[in-house]
Parts: sequence; structure tokens; C-alpha cells
Amino acid sequence: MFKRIQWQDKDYGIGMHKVIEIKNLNYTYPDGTLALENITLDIFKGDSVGIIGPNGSGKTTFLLHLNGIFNGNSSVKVCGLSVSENLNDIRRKVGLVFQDPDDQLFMQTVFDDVAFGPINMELESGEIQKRVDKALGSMDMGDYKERISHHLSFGEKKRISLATVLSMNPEILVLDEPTGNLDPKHRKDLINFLRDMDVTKVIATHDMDMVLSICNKIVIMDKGRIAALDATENIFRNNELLRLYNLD
Amino acid sequence: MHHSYIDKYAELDSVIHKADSRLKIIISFVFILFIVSANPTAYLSFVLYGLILLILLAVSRIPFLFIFKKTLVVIPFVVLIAVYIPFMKGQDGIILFRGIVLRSYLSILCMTLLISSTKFTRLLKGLEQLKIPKIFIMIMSFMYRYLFLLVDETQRMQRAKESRSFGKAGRFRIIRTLSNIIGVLFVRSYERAERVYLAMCSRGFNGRIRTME
Repeated sequence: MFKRIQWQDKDYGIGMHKVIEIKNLNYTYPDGTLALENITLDIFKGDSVGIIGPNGSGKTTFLLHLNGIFNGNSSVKVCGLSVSENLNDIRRKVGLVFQDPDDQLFMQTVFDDVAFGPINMELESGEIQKRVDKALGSMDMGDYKERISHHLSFGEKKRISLATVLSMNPEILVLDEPTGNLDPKHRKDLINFLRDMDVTKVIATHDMDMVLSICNKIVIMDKGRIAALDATENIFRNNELLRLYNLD
Repeated sequence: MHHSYIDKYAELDSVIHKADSRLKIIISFVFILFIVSANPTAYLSFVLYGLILLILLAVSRIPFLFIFKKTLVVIPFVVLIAVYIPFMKGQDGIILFRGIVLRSYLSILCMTLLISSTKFTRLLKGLEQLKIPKIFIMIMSFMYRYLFLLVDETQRMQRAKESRSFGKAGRFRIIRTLSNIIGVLFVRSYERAERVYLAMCSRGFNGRIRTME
């Protein structure tokens, strides 16, 4: 196993504000499969963390812990708040986008879907309108407000999925495979958009180009454990590691 | 993928399409009340109701065949339920049976006309304005949203099955694969429902559905 570097010990962590603190997180599925084992990880404000690893390594399960959908052994803290006890606050701060846009879009029209979060945040209607316009506009989907989700293409649904969370102005953006199945143009646009966005990001993906251009830190997961975690440039300099996880 | 959506002709531009959805809902409801309370032997009234519906259908300019096919789908259910009636004691079963089939068919015709001439979102909005409990509206909205996904999924599975089945398959094998598909579909829908619920919770859902006015 590789040396595990705790990045708060290194210079880029000192004095920064921790937004996500995870200590010894374990999670077992109801059928007894161990999904996450002993995950310890701190994420700092402004970080972009790429979670990579083979299929079935626990990436999605891990993401679902960040806004309290799964609770494991309750050892996740977001912005200093314990996730299991402050669900409402946490879910305003953490915007989680599911991998399958058909899970993310459940309302009648695109507008209703993008407005769902802001309405639940009890914002006033002018503000909701403004946020929906801005979120859809940033995804190049401004003309789609009155469209019905099941008439849209996969890529369009994917981008609207992200807009449904952007409209909530989250402090932490948690994305599961955001570039999966996007056409090259919109993939590039999305990567540029995410790179320029000034929030903390946690992104599970297989898209190594995206990780390289967005993420400053990488977590490699394997069989429910953190196999390696380090700054992006260090991971990409470690040839042995890259070969082992077929990342080269 | 393309299906024949139930509101495929809802974008036409006729008097009926342009009418307020609340008005249409109320009129359809009252009309159905009339139909179901008609005396089974009063054939003239059935003919009259049928004529009114046909005139409305002509005015709406929705292709007759489209409506006819949609209404046909429900007939087997009605017959299945009503088929026992002629064997009931003490009444003239045949007349009763005929009455029930006629009444259900006319009611379904009326409903199909309403649904086909109104966009589903407008229909739901109308129901909402008529103070139908939100939970029913949400259920219908989810149904409409995920029905097509379910159809897609079935089609995909059917295709995957066909591309892997060659040679002669016995009837028993066909039935067995079919029941397998149904089972998998059920499990998938169940899991989908779970994930959709989690996605709702992630965006602050707390048991009360709110939309913008």
C-alpha cells in the first residue's frame, strides 16, 4: 500500500478552513457488503477534490455521505456541523448532483425542477426567478424553462441537473460523473465552467482530463478504502501508482 | 425514444384546445355524472351523449382513429369486470351488462377527449386551481414523468432480449423470459423511486411539495 499523505500536514493545508471533516467513516450496505472502510479525509474551503477509482470502489456511496443521505457511523462533519444532526442546514450548503439525470429531474417542467431547491429554501419569488434564470443561463439552457424533462436528450438533462443545484448557491458542490455521456463541446464548456467556479468541489469521475484541469487534490479509492490521496501533481508524478490503477 | 404520448395532439389550435382547463375538467366531470346516472334502458340518451362527444371530437380536430385506439385499451378491463353481471339472479342481466359497457365506454371517451385536448401540465395546473389535494397532483405528475422512462426501459430490455435470442424458443421459454423482464422492471422502478426520493431530499424536500404560483 502506498504512503498515505495527510495533506493538512503539508504546507497547503495549514491555516485553512476545513469544510468537510471525515474521521474513520465506515459504511456497510443492508445486505452486509462493506462499502466504505475507515475513510479519513479533510477537505478545505476552495479545494477541488477528484475522487477516482474503478467501478464499484465506493465513490458514489462516499458522495452520498456528504449530505447525510447515508449516515455510516455518523463521523462526517460539514462546516463544523455533524451531518446526522443538522440535515436541513447541511443540504442547503451541499449541492449534490446524482449521476443519472432522470433521478435528478422529477418535476413537470425544467423550470419547476430548477426552482425546487430555492422554493424549499423559502426564498421569495423574485429571487427564485432570478436564480433559475442564472443557473439555466450558465448551463446554456436558458430557453428550456418550459420544456418537459422527458423530451430532452441525455446531455441536456445532464446540464439541467447541474442547474437544479446551482440555483441553490451551494457552498460545496458534490458531483457524480458530471461529464459522463456529454458531447465534446458541452464537456469542454462544463469543465471550463467548473474550473472558474469559486466553490469547494468534490467530483467523482473517470474523466482524467477533467481531473487534471479542475482538481487540485485527488483521492484514489479502491474496494471502499482510500488507496491514495495527494495533490494532483504528486499523483500524476507517481508512475508506479498510475500504472497500478491504470490511470496512465 | 419516441412514443405516442397521451397528449400528442394537445398542441392543436381549436376552440376546445383553447378553453380554460378548469372549465374543461368541470364540464367533463358533470358530463360523466350524467352518463353514469342514465337509465340502462334509455338508449336514446346514450345515443345523444355519444353524438355530443362525437361533435366535440370533430370540433377539436383530433384524429378520430387516435381517440378510438386510446379508448379501446380500457374495454377489456370493463368487460372483465362486467362479464359476471348477466349471470346474476333476479335481474335482466343482459340489459344491465349492456348499460354498464355503454356507460363506461362513453365516460372513457369523454376522459380521453379531455386528456388529449389539454397539455398535461395545464391539466395538472387546472386541477390544482380547483383545489384538488396536492398529493394527488404530485402522484399524477410523477406518473406522467416516469411512465415514459418505464416504457423506454421495457423497450430496451425487449431489444436486448431479442438481440440475444435466436433459434426456436418454446412457448414456455418465452413466458419465462417475459416474467423475468417484468420482475426486473419492478425492482428497477423500486430502486429508481428510492433514488428520486433521495434526490428530492438533497434539495431540501421535507414532505411538503411546493411549487411557484
